Amino acid sequence: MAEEIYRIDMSKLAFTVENCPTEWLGLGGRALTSEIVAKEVDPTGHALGPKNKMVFAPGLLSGTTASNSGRNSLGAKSPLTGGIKESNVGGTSAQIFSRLGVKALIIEGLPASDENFYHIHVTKGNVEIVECNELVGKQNFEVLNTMLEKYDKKVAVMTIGTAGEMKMLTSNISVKDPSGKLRSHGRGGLGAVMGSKKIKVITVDAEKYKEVEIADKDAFKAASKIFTAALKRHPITGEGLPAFGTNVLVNVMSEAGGLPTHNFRAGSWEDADSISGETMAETIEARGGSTTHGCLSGCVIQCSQVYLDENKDFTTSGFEYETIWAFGANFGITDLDLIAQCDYLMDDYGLDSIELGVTMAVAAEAGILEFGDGPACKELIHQIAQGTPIGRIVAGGSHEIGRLYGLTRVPTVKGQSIPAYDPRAAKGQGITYATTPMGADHTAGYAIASNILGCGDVNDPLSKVGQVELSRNLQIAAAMIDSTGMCTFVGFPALDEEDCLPALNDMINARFGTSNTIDDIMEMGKKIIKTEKDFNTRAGFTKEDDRLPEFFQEPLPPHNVTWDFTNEEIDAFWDF
Amino acid sequence: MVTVKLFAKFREDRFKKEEIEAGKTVSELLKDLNIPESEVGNLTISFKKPENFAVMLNDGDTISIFPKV
Repeated sequence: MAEEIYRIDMSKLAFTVENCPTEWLGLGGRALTSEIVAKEVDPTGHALGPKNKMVFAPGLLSGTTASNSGRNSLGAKSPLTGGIKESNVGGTSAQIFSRLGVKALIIEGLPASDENFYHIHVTKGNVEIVECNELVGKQNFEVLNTMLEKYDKKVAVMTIGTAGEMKMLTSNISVKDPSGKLRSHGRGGLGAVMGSKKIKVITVDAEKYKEVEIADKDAFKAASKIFTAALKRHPITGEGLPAFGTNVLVNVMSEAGGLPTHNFRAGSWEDADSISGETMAETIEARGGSTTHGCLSGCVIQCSQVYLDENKDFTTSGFEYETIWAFGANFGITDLDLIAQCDYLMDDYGLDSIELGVTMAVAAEAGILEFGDGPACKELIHQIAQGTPIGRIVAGGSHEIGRLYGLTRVPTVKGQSIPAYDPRAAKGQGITYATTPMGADHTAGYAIASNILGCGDVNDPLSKVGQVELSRNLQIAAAMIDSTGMCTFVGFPALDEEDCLPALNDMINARFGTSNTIDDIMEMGKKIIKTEKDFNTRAGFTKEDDRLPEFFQEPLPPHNVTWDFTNEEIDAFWDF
Repeated sequence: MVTVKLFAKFREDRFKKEEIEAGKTVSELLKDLNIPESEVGNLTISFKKPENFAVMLNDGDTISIFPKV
């Protein structure tokens, strides 16, 4: 089956199918979205203007039977950072795109008139672009359920809430997961890009697809078996994540002195256990929820969960450490139920729960609300969805609030909020925050693995030694993994289980009939981040954008460590 | 006294937090708790990773023990 590029021009409301150019054939996921954005988007253009494009691309292994391979990448110029963005998501869209033979979906241009919002429905070889003004003002769960009624339960759905319609910098794009709940292309304000193109919802037909073709089925099956066994054997992906979810990290980070608390004033929190993964698992079990849940079909890790309220009614799912940390330790809410309610609202309204979570603490710093005031925080989220003036200010994110209120304690890099791991007490993670072309992003090079969790080449999180090299190696590997369609947690067994990475490479070779070595796919990782860095340079970024905020020079208790890298040490990251 | 904090699956059939007398090594404590050293992931004494498990626990220390998570 030929792999094709589907292209939609919103200025003409027109659609074309193109053969995939030869040079893109070996690319998928982030490799492809960043390549296309770097080639086709003017880096100096406005992120919400006609020059920006949205590029969706499933990973190289998406749509196959390989475990955890269903991540879909979305690339664009980010309105939040002003640089390139790739944000990938679970759900069902990657697998459905792959089985339709869609290598990438590119959406360009803006409609001639601002009057209408559109619904885009993708089927094999065709795209319908129809007005959907009846959905304007509706939130994500209602749009999702409307689409599931209109088509069938298997249709892929990508939607924006009112936050995206209003082109807010903290808006995201929500994607249907296999159980009919939502996952998100979370970071970088990509919901605003979709809103600027006047697209309310995209659906992808799941009925007429075929299985993806595998060049060598036996080799694929053999490699896939080894790969899955490695995921199940590793203590993090096989045991820790399934039992306690990502939120197990609240206590881990607090006991390591690296849990940012009270807007990054301390590295440990006395109330950490009130919102921890252990407390969450106990609560979920007592209420009859589910501690395991997959964000995509074919997941063997099942780190997600279904969280119920006291009356055993659904509150939220996909309830992750970084969100819980932001509203908990960093903003000060000790009631996990309240944080879960905020999480649901952000899913429904289409808001990046990391960006907005960090923003709440900065808003508290600004005096907009009090630290730890959960009800006020919830009210503020409602105000965002309604687009009130204070709602719009807060929805601008940490960086903008910091500028508006004259604050210096604003934890952002390239305008994007720093998540969940204090860079002073996990210095490898700090190098990732400083250097990744994405803006502060924990998944771009998850040095916590070696700094804190004992994976790979373990090192001292408080020392500068080896951190630049660690972050570089992890960022290259992450870019490669983000191109395969694999979930980021594959990185843990890839670091520790010696048969994991070879099996991943073997699966890619068996799928496409290629003979790449591991060095070859790592070269792809290098090329991706250099391509992304080059886009940012052409957009006007300099070395000075690879810096952490000045307040990180203050000592962080309990270790009383500071951010002590010189600029030259940070810039050496790019020497490869 | 030494504060012992257990996390994740190590809490099952044990406890979350207890105080013990000072004067034991980390290895001895793990043995008392019936936790095989091979199952230990992150372990910190007052937020810092010890050099090894022969380290003695002193008055005022807090030891936090996690499985590999």
